[in-house]
Amino acid sequence: MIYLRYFRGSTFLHRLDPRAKLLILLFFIFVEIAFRDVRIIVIPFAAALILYLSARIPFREVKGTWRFMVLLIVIIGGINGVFLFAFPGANAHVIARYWFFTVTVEGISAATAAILKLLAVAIATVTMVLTTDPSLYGPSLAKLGIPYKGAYVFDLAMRYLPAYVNDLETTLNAQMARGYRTKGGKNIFATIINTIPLIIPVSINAMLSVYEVADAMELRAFGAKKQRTWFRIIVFKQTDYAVVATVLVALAVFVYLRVLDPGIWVPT
Amino acid sequence: MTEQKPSPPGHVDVFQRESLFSTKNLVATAVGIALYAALTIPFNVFTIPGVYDVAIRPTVAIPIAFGFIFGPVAGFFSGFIGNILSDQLSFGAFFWNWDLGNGLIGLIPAIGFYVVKRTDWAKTKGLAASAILAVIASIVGIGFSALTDFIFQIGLTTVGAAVAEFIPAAVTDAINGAIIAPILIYTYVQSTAGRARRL
Repeated sequence: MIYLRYFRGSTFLHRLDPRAKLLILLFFIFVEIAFRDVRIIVIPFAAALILYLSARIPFREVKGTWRFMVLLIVIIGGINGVFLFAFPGANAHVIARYWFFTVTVEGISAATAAILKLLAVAIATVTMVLTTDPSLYGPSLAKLGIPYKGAYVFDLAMRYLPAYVNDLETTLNAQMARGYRTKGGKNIFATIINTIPLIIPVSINAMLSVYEVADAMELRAFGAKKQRTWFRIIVFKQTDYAVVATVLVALAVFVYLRVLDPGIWVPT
Repeated sequence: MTEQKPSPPGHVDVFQRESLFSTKNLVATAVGIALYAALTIPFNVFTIPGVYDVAIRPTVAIPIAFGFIFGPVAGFFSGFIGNILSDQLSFGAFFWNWDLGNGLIGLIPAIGFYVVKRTDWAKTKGLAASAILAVIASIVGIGFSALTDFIFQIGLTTVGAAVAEFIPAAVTDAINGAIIAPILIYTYVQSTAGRARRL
């Protein structure tokens, strides 16, 4: 599974400034935190889907990522739903009762909203990561005013992340060839100990590389001066300004909607 | 007796205390973030049944070990940003207080970085210290998250719900940290034996 790879392309999203993409993401996160109303959450969900489809990422390449993500969201949404249906609020509209679950209109509405929220942010984040050239993370963060050391740390982390996911898969295959089983034991201790053959090799390899990388960077005078320039130069274009303006207007509208406080939507 | 001379420009004093944001610490931070995020994403599937959004994380040992081995900056940011990245990239949830709680889990073991002597790290004393610090860090970190969840009403409304969230998460994190972090530290010390200036 190649989890988060950059796909080269020339669509609208590929050409968009990374800072504008960050603003779009922050907008999705704001909506996720602020709303519980299905009718409102459908809008960012649709927007995220449109963004993803407009990026024209080959589905075959990211199938594994989506399968994993949807599975995770369904599990989390299901657990959330169990809670919602096990403890219904007072004067809720009851549809049916099974065992200790009480299916209510409010419960269905809130559970759908929770899943749609997670899906919207997940789709938006993955789309942004898949369409942003990894070599642009550092320069764009530095342009936002973050000190270059911080920007470089994030740049480096995003560069290593897919590599470590690959390392984990390689280690898993190598251990399975030696008779390792992914199924955990019966109790929690067995489950934990079972993960050690996976975590330790990947972590130790990574930790041993720290000094080599640091030496290589210091040989290139990293950290010698207060300022450092970047090879890639990022310029805000007219389309970027248009996108930022659109997002800000949308944000204002959603803040206004939040002030009205819709809460959970109950169809009557 | 002797007055300390200012070192000439370009001269590096080998014995001077390492700065918190030295290149080594920055690289360790980046590696910690990437490692925590990359290894946590697959483990996010093992969610504890019955508790909302709390996952069993063997990888919580990574910020703990990074805090212990590389100091507070690497520990805090690998927990904080690593958790943001792993949550965002696996199921798209954003909880600032859980991210900060994970940061605390990495920050507290850095006490060991300052207190325990380097030569004791792979001995019983250092390993026991790391295990104890892992338990304290899990309780404080998850305690912070559950408390802020309750104070700011993020998904929880009662004290009972906060406790129901705190206990399984803190216990599993403490067990995970206390088992895996000492193993990580021991393996790291053993595999760096004979290499120059690794500790």
